[in-house]
Amino acid sequence: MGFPKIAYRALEDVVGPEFVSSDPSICIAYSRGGYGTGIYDRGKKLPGCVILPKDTEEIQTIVRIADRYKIPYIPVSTYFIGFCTPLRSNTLMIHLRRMNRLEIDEKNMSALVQPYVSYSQLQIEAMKRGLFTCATMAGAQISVLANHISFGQGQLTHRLGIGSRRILGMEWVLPNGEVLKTGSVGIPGAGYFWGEGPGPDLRGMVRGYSSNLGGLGIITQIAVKLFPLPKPCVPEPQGITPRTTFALSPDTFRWYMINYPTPEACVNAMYEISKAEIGAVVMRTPSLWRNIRKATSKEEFWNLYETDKVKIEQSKPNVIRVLLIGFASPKQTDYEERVLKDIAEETGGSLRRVPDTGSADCFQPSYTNCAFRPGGLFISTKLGYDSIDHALIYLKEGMKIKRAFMPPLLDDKEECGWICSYDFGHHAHGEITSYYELSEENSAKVLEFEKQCILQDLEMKAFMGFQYGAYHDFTGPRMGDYHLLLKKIKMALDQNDLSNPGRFVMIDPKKEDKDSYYSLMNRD
Amino acid sequence: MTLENYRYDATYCPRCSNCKWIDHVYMKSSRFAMICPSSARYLFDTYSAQGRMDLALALLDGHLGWGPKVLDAIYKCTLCGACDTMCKRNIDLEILEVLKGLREKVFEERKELKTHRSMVKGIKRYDNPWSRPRGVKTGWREGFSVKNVKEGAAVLFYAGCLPEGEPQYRLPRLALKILTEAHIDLGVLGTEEKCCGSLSYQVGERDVSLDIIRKNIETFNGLGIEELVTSCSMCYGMFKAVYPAYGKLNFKVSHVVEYIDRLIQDGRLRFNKTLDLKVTYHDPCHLGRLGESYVHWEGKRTEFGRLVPPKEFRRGTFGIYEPPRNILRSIPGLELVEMERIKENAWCCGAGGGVKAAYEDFALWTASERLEEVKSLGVDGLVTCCPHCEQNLSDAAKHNGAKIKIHDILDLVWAGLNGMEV
Repeated sequence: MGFPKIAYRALEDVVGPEFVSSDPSICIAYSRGGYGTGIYDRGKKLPGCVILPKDTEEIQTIVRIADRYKIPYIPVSTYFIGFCTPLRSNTLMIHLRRMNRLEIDEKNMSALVQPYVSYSQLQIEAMKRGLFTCATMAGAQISVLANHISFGQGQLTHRLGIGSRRILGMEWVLPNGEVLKTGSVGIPGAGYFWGEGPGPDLRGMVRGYSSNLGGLGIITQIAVKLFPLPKPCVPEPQGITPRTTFALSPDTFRWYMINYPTPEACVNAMYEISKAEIGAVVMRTPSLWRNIRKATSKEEFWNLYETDKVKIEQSKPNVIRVLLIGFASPKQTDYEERVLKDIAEETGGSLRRVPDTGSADCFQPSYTNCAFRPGGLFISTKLGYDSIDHALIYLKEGMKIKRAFMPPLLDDKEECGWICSYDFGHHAHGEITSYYELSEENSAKVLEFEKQCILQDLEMKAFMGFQYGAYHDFTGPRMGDYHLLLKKIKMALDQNDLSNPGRFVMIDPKKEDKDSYYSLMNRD
Repeated sequence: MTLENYRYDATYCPRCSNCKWIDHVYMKSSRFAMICPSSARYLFDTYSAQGRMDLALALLDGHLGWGPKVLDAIYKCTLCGACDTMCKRNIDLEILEVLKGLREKVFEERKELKTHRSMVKGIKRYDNPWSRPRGVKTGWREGFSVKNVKEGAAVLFYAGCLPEGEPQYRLPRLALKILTEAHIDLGVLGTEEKCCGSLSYQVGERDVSLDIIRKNIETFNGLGIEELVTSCSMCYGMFKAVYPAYGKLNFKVSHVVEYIDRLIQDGRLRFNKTLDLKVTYHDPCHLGRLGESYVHWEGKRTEFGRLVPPKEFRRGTFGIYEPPRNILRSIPGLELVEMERIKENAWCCGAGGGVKAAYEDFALWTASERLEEVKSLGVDGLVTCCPHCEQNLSDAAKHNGAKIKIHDILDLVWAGLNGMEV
């Protein structure tokens, strides 16, 4: 059965024939995601229709039409992650491509963004005004809005904190078509300046790796906090692809690597750096990242990997990367450097200044997809957001599981994983990145690896590091039935289960879900 | 190479959207942040490289039929190579080869657009895409004495197929006048000059294109020349990046801007007139991103998709970017102001890939976007060095009533040498 004609005509009336299509050749481009291919897009369906609304009013009408004809829909913007792939037949893809409003309030250091504003667009316009945003490591091409509402990961979070807390109000089209405004914008005429209130602050309801994911309606615009650049000018770009970067002044920007014998020593140093309240980026990076970053091609990566792996196995390097930024003045950079040197010495680390080739990374991260270089695909497991200590424990345990899955996962000789500090070490993001090739057999093993990680988290009472709602029915009953609360939220806002069904929480598993990721996760 | 050969590249597209944006580090504004004209104009993801990867897989696996929208999505693309360059900042996927493979598949299945079919017929019958009599290829040198290369010459000047009556018809004549002024030992092929095959190759007609390529290689190699020089960027791109895949060339290939730049550096060409002009420069795709030398590779993919032996990738960064800029900078009085999107980040003029022939409105829209970018610079003119770019940008300027003057670089070189009005 094709997409209902009556609904299609109604949608055409809203946006005009140019901006809606149910042609399979148009729909097919919305039938998969890139990240987690073969895993998160299992059981995927060809969408029934794609629509390109231009504003909030059109989205309200579209959502109401979907509700009237019981059509599942998925809001998508820059579309990187497989969670946007439809699990239901005849899904309507609401591509927010035309929603690209960007307004910067220079005086109040904030920016109003719609879903199709990329980090690179916001960053360049902000920089021209002496401001900047904390870009996600997922890449400068990523939607500012999507990243901020889901979590707001970034390198500079050690200094600037989690992105979702930097939201200064949201405009949200609920599944019934009504508009909900949060934070200060909830008060008529107040504008976007405060996330907490005086209107409702519902940022927590949409935030999280395994939360909203377009399952509670469509957030059409948000305001985000900006920060003053240490030197109010756009840095000079330099280099040619695949090595382009900004020329940043060493007076103000300095990168360091500190090598430790163990992950525990890394964590200890991260705490010391945090206590001293220095640094803009502080993170423990997996050894393999160095090879990924250094290589300019897959083959170069493999050469480096083959050369380094014995060395890595023997010396087991544990590296933290630190970026110092003299936000106030070059004197601050000098001061922080002296403190960092002292900390490195006191904690038994071997510190060295590293070239600033990656200096653009924290502003316009354009190298991120190098993560696809080693194996063609990658997946992140054990995604947690708790303390630095906590990350160390669950990542180390996770690596023990991972070793049993090499192959098909690339043997990265890693003993911990990636730990990124937030808010001067008050909390941290942890993650294990794994690289694989696409095949039925490999996907099944990667799924099993992920499942074992979840079971281990449950057993350890660790942060539940999974990325979308397929696990809630499995983990909820083992964790105080929290999943029932999520289902209540979903039912309150989207009782017909039409907004990205199956990704937030599964309300009513359908027959067609039998091959999906959800079913595979809940089979036992 | 067929589409099937690039299945890996289509499969492993990570849908990251980098194919749509210019290199983020080089971005100057949110207004001119996009790089794919097709995606920027038609918005649906099918009209971007990532969507076309999905189309390719669906067609290969028989999950999609040949509907009009499929052809629309395949051919509303200028094949400018921007997506390929941007993808290769991170992942070495041969995106452009997939796009070319899709077009070859269209012709294999005999589903080509009527416009392209008649264009290819014209090339076969008249040896030019304009379906004009063969003699038209020599009209540009009427009243101008130049020897036939077969009489012996170090340099073959290749004029390319230019439509008679169009302003671009002047370009080979201008190029010859400039090179003659520098006493270069050159000759032309005259009526024996065959089409380079660029347009048939771009729309995907493999048999006709390969026939042209092989015959031309044989002819050129038999001339005993040291160098082939052309004033057309599309021809240049063919000779430089495509021909060597089908046969060894016993001569060097240069665009006339490279040659003139060398003459200036060697002191063999000196500007003696001042041009009081402020201009900007548009990088033609076939001279820039698509103008890198062909690099041969034969091998296979192994574990984790590794290429054995390793492949040297062409990332669009070593195209001809500096020579035209060097020339402009050396003209006394002329001020060169750069646009936001330049070199490998340049926005296409909109003429390539068979778009000008099949989708004039899209070609004009793309050129208009480029003219918008020029607007804010306050320049007197836009300079390029490709007749196709010049034509399409001029058409767009005329269509929009824009006051900007579009020059070929040869106009300015000639004016700088002889003081003619530009």
